[in-house]
Amino acid sequence: MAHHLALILTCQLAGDLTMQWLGVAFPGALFGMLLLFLILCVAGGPADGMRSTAGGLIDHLGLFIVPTATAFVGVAALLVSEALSLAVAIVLPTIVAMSTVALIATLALRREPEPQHGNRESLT
Amino acid sequence: MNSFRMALAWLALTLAIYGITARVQKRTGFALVNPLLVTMLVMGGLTTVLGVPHQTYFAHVAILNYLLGAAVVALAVPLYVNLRRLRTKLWLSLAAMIAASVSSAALTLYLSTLLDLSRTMQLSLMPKHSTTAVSIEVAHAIGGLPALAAFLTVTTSIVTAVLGPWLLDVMGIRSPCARGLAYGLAGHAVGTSRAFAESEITGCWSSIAMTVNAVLTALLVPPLVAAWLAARP
Repeated sequence: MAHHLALILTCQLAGDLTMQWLGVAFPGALFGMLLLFLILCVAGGPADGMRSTAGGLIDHLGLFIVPTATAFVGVAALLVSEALSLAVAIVLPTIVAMSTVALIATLALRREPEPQHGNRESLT
Repeated sequence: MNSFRMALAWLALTLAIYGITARVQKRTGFALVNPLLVTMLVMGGLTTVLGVPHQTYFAHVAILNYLLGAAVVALAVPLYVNLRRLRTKLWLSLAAMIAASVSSAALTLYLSTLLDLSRTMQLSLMPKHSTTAVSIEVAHAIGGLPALAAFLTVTTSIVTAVLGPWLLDVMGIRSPCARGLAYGLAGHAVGTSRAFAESEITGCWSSIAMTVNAVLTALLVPPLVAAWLAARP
C-alpha cells in the first residue's frame, strides 16, 4: 500500500516538475495521471494494492475539494445576482455536450453490434 | 482552544458532514444530496455565521487539500481497467468526445458573452465539464476564480445527473456506450455515479469519458479562450 502511494506521489511530482519546466498551463497532476497510465500499460496492469490505494483516493475526491470549494462564500452574492444567466450558461452547453457525444456514438455504433458484457477475466 | 485543537475540531466536523451526506446519498440516490455540495454549503455557511475567515478554515483543513493531486493521478487506474475492458469503438468515441467538448466550450463562451457575464465569471465557467479537481486548475490557469469554478462545476455535474436521463430518453438513446459517454463527458463524477445506477457497463463508459474529458478540457479550453480573447478584447 505504502509503495503504491509512493508511486502515485512520484508521478504527481514528476508531472508537476515537467509542467513547470515546459512552462505550459496544463495541470501537473493530470500529466502525472498520464504518466501513471503509461506505467500501467508497460507493467501490464495495476496490482491489487494499487487498485485499492487508487480506489481509496478516488472515493474521496469530493472531500479533498472541500477546502478550496468552501471559498465560494466570498462570491456567494455574485452567484445569486447572476443566478439566471448562470443557469442558462450551464444548462444549454450541458444539453449540447450530452446530445453531441450520444448522437455521434449512436450513429457510429449502428454499423457494428456493441458488446453488451465486458470480459471480466481481462480485468485480472 | 489552541490552533491544533481548532484544526481537529474543524476537520472532524467537515468529515462528519461529508460522511453523513455520502451515506444519505447512498440510501436515497438523490443527486442533490451531493456530499461535496452539502459540505461546502454547510461549512461555508457556518464559517460565515461564526465570522471565521476562509483562509483560517482552509489552513485548518488543508490536510485534505494535500491529497487532491494524488487522487487525480490515481484516476489512471480506472481509466486503464475500463479501456482494457471496452477496447472496441475507442477512436470513434474519442472523436465524439472531442466534438462534444469543443462545441459545448464554444457555446459556453458565446452564451456567457451574450448574457453579459463578467470576465471572471465567464472564465470560471469554461472548464465546468471537467472533473472538479482539474476544473479548479484550468480556471486558475486561464484567469478564472478556483472557488467559483468549483461551485459551477459541481452544479454542472448535478444538472447532468438530474436532466440527463430525461434528455437521453427523449432523444431515444438506448445504447449503454452512448449514454455512459454522455453522462461522464458532461457530468463527470455525479454523472458517472448516475451512469453506474443504470448499469455497470454504462458506468465504465462514463468513467472513461470523465477522465478523457478532464484531459481534453485542460488541452483545449486554454487555447480556445486565448483565441477568443485575442479576437474580441
